[in-house]
Amino acid sequence: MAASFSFSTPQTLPNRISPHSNLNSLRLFSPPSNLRLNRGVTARNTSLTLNIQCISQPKAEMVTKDSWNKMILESETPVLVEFYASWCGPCRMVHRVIDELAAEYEGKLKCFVLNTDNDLQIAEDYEIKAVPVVMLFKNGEKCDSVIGTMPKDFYIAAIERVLKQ
Amino acid sequence: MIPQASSFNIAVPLSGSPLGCSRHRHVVRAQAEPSEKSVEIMRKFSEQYARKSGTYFCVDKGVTAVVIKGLADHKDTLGAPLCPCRHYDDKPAEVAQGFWNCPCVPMRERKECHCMLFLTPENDFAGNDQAISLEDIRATTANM
Repeated sequence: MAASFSFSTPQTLPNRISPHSNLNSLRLFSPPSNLRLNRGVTARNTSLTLNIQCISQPKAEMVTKDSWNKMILESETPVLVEFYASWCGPCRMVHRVIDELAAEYEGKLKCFVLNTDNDLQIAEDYEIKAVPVVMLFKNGEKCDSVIGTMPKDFYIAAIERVLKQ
Repeated sequence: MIPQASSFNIAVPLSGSPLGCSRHRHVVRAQAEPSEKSVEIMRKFSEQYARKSGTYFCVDKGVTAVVIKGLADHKDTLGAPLCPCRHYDDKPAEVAQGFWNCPCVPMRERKECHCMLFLTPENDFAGNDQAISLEDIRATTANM
């Protein structure tokens, strides 16, 4: 399926896409659950960058309620999830940090982001109030969470604690 | 935008259910742009409130711009600028309750804005500006 995207991942950045045009059909056949957020590019555009992502460094992928169990709770590797909201400015700063961490901890930690506006139930299950919230999971258990916008070192310290456990 | 549409059509036939997935349920909400009128109202409000409270915008104006758009989006959809940096079980109820309508109670009482719209000068992320132009907002959110 990724092949079909190769036509559309080009030079033109996705901001020209009208929100109403064809993303709808995209969603029908391929929920962007395995996509990730690029710097400054929001979830609605990530489908367009699939090819680029596949060949570039690992970055945080999008997780949804449908992939939650498989990607988070059943993961053999420890997992980090950033809960964000669509119009949360500081969340975007944290995205960048999480993307960097995804590359730095490749193989040791999987990084994901979840849009609380789209996945209300998961947000409620984990009692998300203020966003961003960064949560760490190991063996399907929530181990730690960091609420708010913190310096990168703060997240690293939390990750190291979880990895050493 | 039209030329790109054609490239997507290739994949469309894979989708069997024409009505099953409504864009109105998931997609549009997150991607609809707030009205320009509301963005302008919230932009002016933000400038005024920063001056009034002695706070500054984030050194990364992209953060400021996104939050202003988020406030405008809530103003459009809910009638009040509910804080865009929180998750709510019931947004209309929150609007009616008022605690998280901008400027929220923690901001008014203790100058705490976890959305990083209004930052006190000693905050590491605080910039030097109490002004942001519509052009700034457009430019920093252009590739969203």
